[in-house]
Amino acid sequence: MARDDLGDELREFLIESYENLDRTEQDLVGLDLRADHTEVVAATFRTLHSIKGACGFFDFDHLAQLAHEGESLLGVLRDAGHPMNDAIVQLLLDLLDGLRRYFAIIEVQGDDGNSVEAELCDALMLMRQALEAGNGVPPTPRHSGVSEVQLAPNIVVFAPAGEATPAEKDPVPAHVNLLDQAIRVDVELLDHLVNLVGELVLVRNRTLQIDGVIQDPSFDALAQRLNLITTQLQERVMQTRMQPMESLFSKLPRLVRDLARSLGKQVVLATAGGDTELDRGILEALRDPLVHLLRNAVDHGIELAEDRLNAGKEPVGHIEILARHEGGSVMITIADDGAGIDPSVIADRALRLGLVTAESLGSLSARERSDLIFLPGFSTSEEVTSVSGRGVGMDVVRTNIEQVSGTIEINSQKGAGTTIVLRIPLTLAIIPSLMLLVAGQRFALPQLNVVELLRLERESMADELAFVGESLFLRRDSQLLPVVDLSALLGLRASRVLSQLQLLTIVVVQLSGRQFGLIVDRVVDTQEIVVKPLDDFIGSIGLYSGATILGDGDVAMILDVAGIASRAALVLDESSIPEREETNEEVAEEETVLLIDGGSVGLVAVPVFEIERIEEVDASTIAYLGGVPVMQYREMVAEIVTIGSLLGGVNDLPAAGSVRMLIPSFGATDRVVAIREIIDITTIGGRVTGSTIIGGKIVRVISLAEMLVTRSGAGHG
Amino acid sequence: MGESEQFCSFLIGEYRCAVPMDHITEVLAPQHLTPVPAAPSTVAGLLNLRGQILTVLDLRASLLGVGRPPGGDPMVLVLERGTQLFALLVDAIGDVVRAVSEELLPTPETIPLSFRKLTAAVIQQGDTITLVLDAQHVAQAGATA
Repeated sequence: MARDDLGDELREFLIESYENLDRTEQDLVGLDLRADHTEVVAATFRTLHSIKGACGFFDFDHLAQLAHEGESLLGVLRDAGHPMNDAIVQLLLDLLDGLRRYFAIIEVQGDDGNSVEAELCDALMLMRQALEAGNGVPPTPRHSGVSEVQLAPNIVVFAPAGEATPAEKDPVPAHVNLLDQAIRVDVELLDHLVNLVGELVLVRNRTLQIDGVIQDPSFDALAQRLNLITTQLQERVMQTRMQPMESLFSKLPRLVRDLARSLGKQVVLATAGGDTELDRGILEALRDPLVHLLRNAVDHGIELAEDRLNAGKEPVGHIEILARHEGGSVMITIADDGAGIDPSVIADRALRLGLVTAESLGSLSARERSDLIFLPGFSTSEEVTSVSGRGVGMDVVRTNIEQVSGTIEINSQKGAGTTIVLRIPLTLAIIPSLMLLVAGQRFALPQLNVVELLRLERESMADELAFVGESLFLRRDSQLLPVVDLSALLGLRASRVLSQLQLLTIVVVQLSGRQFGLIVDRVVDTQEIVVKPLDDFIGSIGLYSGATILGDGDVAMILDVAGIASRAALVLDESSIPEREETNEEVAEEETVLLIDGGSVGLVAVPVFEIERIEEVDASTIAYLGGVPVMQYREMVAEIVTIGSLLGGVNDLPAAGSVRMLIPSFGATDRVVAIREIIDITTIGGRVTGSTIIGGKIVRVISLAEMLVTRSGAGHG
Repeated sequence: MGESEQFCSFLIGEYRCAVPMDHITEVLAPQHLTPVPAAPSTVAGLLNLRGQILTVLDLRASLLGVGRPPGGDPMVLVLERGTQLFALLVDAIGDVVRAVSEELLPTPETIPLSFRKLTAAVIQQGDTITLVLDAQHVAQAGATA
């Protein structure tokens, strides 16, 4: 059995036991015979006891037998308070060796083998009997040069130091054990290491930036190598901080069981995806919210058995917790088949608690009524019980989740149950984000919050935008999403008359199911940024979740979407006015694409988020370097590829007139894509690749990122 | 005579201020600062000090009630506040002032209130009066202004 095949729990048991044995051995060896030995005996007893306990769990009968004999002897030693002597110490050391032999077998073959440490067991038993019989008088250690003492025919029991164990039994297992392969590291040290790697990432970013400027092949190679090593180092160091969800999950069944019993309910908890790994800091932050949500599910969700039977359900309620990776974040689903949340009950309760007014209730959708549960001060419990009403509400859960840049969503069906979806980033130290330019200043926006990027030209503004009084809204699916001018919100610039702008760049962000748009001047690129903490009072402004250092050494603030939402609350609260009735949840899966006339390759759709901007250049300004068409773009020379040539068609770059260039949004600005004509901006369902039908015509949906990266091959990464 | 303590003096407007030498970890030449939108006016911006991000306070706003005029290349003092570092934007760095405890006098009433709130004591040596600022209070002033 390979070491990796050992279950996590067994692995942990072995590592812990090895450690305990090592410590016990040190204690025993260093034991002054005349000194008080109660503590050492007690500690050794505990070690044996926990080993014995684990044996029952793993079905290690032989090991259990040995541990049991040892435990019994120590029990007598402990209770009777015998003074230690050489013989006892030696026997205990032999016991440790015996245990180690078992661990070595377990580590190799996964079970404790088929041999019984009969001699050792007998020796332990005899010693115990001797101690018991001696009424407090320990058996005389038989020194006097005798190397072996016969207590029974052919059974070697113990002897004075040195030659105690029969020669064929190696006291220390010859092979390297698990403990030699795993070490425990101080978490602080690890955090420091993560910080240093963060620094290295910044140095890498800066170096790559300089590499773009310096045209030196050897420096280029060096920079690429630094890039590679840094990426690997970053991954590995992050891995060391990763912990499986299981460490959280393992505590939950007990919690549910106790809770269900106290409430007289029958609940079964199932967990899945326990091996999903998360940064330990985030895992820690998840603990309380998860426990709270689970308590809620048992207390408010699952009905009493008779109520369930009356409702035509089986008497036992089910709660399922599922964790899985999804696109750079972890999704945790907590689903119960209980009574569900009745939006009108929530609304009534919120009204009675004075959290909302009757007028504002009227305009809310069912979903928004359910979301009232997140209001501070909200509680459905009429009375404070031991379970609920401890003053911690769903608002705290949401705050906790949002503090680690996560989102929470509740989907509930009355009578059928509630599903809560948490979306959590894997780590907080280094996050992918969008670099934005707002009024000349750069800001980072975590990509986890970004839904899509929109560029609205003057002509399309009227279709996409709607003004309600002074407030601007974006028409999205069935809803009007509020749009906030980031530069005005940050106080960088007075509010502009947006309808007079030629071009609007809007980043649609989401936060726990709410979506809204942010007007920015430009999306610069995407970057992995290292999050640096802020001074308390800069943090208390509430708009920033941290800061980062850019490639050029400048500092950029990291925007906190939750903070921005609350700062813009006036706008947002009157928002999310459903334009039509909500259709279904699938709507969010749509993708906005740019529909392009690809000439010889037909109609082509490109996701809008892949396009940073569209430039119009005169064909006469296109230069040719070695036959390759290039253009000047942002002090760089960018190669021009046509959409036709990307798709294996002809290189149909026109010789005259104006040509439109798609500038990709993913940082590969050394390559731009020439297109003929933009036909429309539209949405397609899901992430279609290949072909789809839009407006009765067959359209090829392509990913620029994929095509440009594949095409560039070993070039710039 | 008591023990002598060293202070680093600096100018804010017409006022000569100082903080105890052992509170200062570094003096930096004029730096590029990243403004923090929506922050109080006392926050001059953020500074990248070898990978650590520091908040830079400009006391001109809370002390003199006026913003910083353009140009003038203000110096940056890096101070310790507990285990955290923060930085102070000052017009110019003065010399090191040595003072024995007897020379540290209570802040006279004639000093404007905005200064008095941040001043722990004054040092009077000849004609020169140096206001000894309390780093804790200075940091807080940045936070509450």
